Amino acid sequence: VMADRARAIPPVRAKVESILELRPDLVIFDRDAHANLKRLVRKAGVPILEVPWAASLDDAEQLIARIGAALGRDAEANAIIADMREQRRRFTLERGPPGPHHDDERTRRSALREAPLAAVLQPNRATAGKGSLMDELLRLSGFRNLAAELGIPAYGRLPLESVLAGRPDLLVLDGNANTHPARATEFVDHNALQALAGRARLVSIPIKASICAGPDNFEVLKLLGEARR
Amino acid sequence: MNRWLLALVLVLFAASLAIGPALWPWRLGHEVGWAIVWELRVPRATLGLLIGGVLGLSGAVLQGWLRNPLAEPGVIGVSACASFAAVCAFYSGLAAAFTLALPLAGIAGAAIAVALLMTAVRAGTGTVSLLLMGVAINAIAAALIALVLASSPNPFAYQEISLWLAGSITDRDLRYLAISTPFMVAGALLVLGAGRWLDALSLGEDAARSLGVDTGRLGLRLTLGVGLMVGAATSVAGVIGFVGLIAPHLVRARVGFKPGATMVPAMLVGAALVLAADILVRLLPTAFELQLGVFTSLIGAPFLVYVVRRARSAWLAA
Repeated sequence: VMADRARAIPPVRAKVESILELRPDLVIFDRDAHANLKRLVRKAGVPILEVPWAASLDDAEQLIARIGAALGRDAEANAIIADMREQRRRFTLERGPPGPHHDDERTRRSALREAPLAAVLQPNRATAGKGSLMDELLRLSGFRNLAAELGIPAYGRLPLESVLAGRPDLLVLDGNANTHPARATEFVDHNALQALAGRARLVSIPIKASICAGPDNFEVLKLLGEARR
Repeated sequence: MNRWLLALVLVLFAASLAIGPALWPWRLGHEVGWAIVWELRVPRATLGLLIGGVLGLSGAVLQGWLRNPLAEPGVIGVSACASFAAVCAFYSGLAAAFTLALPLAGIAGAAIAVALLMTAVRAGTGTVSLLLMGVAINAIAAALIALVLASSPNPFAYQEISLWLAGSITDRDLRYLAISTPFMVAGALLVLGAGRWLDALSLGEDAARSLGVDTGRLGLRLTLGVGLMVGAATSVAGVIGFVGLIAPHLVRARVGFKPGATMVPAMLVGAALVLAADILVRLLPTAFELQLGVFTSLIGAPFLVYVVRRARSAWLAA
């Protein structure tokens, strides 16, 4: 995963002085980063690239293409994108064979209704609601997302009572939970979730693979695909 | 009055058990319904009842004892100290190894804060210096919490603690109820039994001594009682501010301004306030549930301004 490779690079505190000291050829900023930081770096004569936050696989592909173009390494970027498209095709659940009944709206709808229901439990009772990356990944794997069906926004919170009441078929937990004492993740041990034992399957997804859109997401699709079987 | 307040508390307690996103949980089958009621709603309603009660009671005790209408666990830094101690117990891993470490640390933190504040009162200073002492204790506790968090390996530390400090009793389980209830009940019994002496103490320590009150022992008893109540409450629910300020003020005039007689009705009003606030945060159409402490502050801080404005003329005269 990307996070493991990044560990080899020494971290830099996000201060203008420490950034300029490295004499970078390009500084990539989030579009929403502090305007003053961008102004200072630009004034020092360093080219900057402002990019939006990638919230979906399509966003991630666009982002990779833009960064590739800015670094003059289009060929590598295109290779990554082609590989991502190939993997996305491989891990996406086939919804029946292509044919006349594939276009039948009623069949499609009933298949959707019968799709298993997943509830995503993230630290601090957060969840992945409508329009989040995890929502997209669940859909690609053939799951319905409980939080999205309850109308919870992308980074909203899901009360445990709603989890129980929704009677999900799958609980998606954070794979890194409980390695350090954290109030954020202790709800995972809540006794109430015992009521779902035997009804819901568990899958634990490492947060480093699911938090940002990019090639790492295919590990999530692989795990979800295994849980689907 | 107490009978009416008790009835109100019982109605709110029942409402707290009945209201939740799952609506009528039994329609979901026996097992899930039982889990929702017993594992989620019972701890929540009971914690609301107990924590509201001890916060109201602590406010009544502190206001009578310190002879200060603004004394309240949150305002004068008792809750903040309890939070700091609980944060230490939590991030050091102590609370994971030994469950009772969490409430015990909270109790120790709260008791230390009360003892510190008493030194300010003993020094014979007035209302203003007690409050400034509270400001200082709040600031130190906040800084120490930031220091502990900055050295925690847990990536959610800052977010989870800012959420936790904002106070909440959502999705706590029965274990939390089990580790905090005995301490809250013991603290409440300690201070409730001291009502008569609290009346004497409200005349000043010298006057109380001349009435035959052992002020040293009484001080220790009240410190321990408030420490047990606020420490145990804060270690499971975070800071739920201003309940201890509002509750005694609402009932004081009805009991003839006697600190001892304020205690029971203030406890009941505190329980009713927290239960009602906790029901309201569930019903408000916010994108996600508002933290309980945020909600009590929204109501409580304007109330503080009101009390200060009313009391100002009295201070200027003093």
